Amino acid sequence: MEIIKTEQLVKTYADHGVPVHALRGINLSIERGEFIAIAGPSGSGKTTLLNCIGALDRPTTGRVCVNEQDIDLLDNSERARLRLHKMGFVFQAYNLIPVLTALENIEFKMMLLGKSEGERHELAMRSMKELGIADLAHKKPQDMSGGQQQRVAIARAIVNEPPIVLADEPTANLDTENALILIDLMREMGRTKNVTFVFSTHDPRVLERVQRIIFLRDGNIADP
Amino acid sequence: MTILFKLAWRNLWRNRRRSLIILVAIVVGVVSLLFIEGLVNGQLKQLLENQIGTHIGHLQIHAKGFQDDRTIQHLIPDKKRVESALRSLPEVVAYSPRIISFGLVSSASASSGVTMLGVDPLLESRVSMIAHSMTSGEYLAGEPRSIVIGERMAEKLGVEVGDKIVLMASALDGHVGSDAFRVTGLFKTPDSEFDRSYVQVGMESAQSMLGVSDSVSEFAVVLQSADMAAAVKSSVGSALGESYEVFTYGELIPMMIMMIEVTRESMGIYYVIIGLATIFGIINVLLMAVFERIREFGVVMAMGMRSAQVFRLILLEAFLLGVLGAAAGVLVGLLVFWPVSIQGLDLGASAEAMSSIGMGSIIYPFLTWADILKNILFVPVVSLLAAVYPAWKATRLEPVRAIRYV
Repeated sequence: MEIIKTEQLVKTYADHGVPVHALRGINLSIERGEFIAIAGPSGSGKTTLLNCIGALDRPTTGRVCVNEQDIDLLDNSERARLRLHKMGFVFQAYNLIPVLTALENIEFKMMLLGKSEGERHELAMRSMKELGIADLAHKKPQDMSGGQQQRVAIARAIVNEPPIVLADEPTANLDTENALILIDLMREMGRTKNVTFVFSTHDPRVLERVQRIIFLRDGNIADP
Repeated sequence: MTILFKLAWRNLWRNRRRSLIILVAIVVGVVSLLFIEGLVNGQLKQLLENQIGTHIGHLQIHAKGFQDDRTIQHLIPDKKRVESALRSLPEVVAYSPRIISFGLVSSASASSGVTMLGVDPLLESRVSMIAHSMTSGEYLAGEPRSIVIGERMAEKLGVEVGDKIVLMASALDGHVGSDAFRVTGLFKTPDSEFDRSYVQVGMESAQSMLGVSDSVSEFAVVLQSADMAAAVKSSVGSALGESYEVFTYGELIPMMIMMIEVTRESMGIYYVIIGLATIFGIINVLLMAVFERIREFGVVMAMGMRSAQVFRLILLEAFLLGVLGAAAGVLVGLLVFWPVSIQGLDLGASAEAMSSIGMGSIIYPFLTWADILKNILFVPVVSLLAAVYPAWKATRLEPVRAIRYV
């Protein structure tokens, strides 16, 4: 089942008045449950593509469909709702809320979803256990290592079992051992929960473990 | 405690020093407001009580027309009927019949215009403060032709207790009645104008001098509470009929009541000034907080937090800041205020000026529950207003750019 589709996706933005062609007509189809890496050198358009798929940025031309719905037709509030219910996000710099504990960071997303306090706690703890970080529940981000923070970020992304998780360079700040552990965890979560993981990377160690690689060069899909 | 509340509360303490500085500013503002409000309350209460206590009372009853033409000819038609009506009302604490005339008082060396009140010393002592404001000699003790005068008038006339003075005033038959009185006491009230222009003599002496047999010009009435004045006026007015006129203290001293109202309303200026200072302080703090957390807002908005929820989060932070500031401010304010309200604030340097407008030099500030509640509500409301702009700024962030913000 096709969950993400892009048609002639073009994104051009101005950098100090100079047009930058970040994406030059991307056609892409991603099935539910796939574990996909978007690879390519810096500036190739990886993050822009993820942002467009994730309803964070609007394409200049072309279409992005999620579950066969053209997301460019949605207003900002509907796009926020789509992100909340259908997507999870993992960022390179973890981006946990520093004043909340690991558990509260995960519960925060459940609060946005309108879950009751009891349900929030139960689902957040279950998610942490699945990622082997239950012992970090009451620690704040500054008291955790990078690898631990990124696991919490993944727990936050998948706690409501969205069909899509988008991760922008999730292993870039991690050492090799932690990077591979994290990729294995993401793949396992994707397999067991039928979640589509799409992440950007240029780490060759990570690329060895994915189902499919979409290689970008200068805003176009290219052969690796 | 919800996550949102926890988040708002902890965000407040991210920059502890900054939050403490704005909290101190709020506390200083609230303490100032409480203190000013208490002082004004104390001054106005004293001003009104002094006016009521020196001679006005809560109600006055006269023969119809007396208020417009305060002459000896307007005498109460039936004194006993008035007394009977007043006795039947439980709200009436005390009353005092008075005969009033205007004339001249002279000593061997000086003379002065005067308002003469002929009173029953016992009844008058329950209505006015004169009997309790004697600074030398004694109040009217029942001896015929005794007189008490204000210290100011004694100075003007150059007399002391025991001296004789001559009183002249319009009598009922149109002639000028006069008699010699011995000063038995000097009084000093908080109202120097009263002390300068009023004298009290025994009822019989006054009636004899003015040729009015057993008649009186006025009944001054003290009630259980000033708030009852309008209702009791209505009851008394109905009981006595159209030959009488009944006035509340508010109708007798309308300028003072207006001044009190204006003063109370002008308190709003202090609220505006302190409110504006608080608003700009909080705007500054919250704008800095928003700019410091641009990336974080980008992340939560990317996760699906809607602009309205971001807006509410910042408003909640401001509200908590306001509640905390108001609570601390009221607590500190009451701790500072409490001893002053008991001991009073001695404005001795301004005693002369204050006395001329009927106030004592020691003010006893007081606060009502409404004043405290007003301050408890004022700061959080102001904080919410102050948060609107920073919150709006946060909602304008685009997650895709905010996430990359460094």
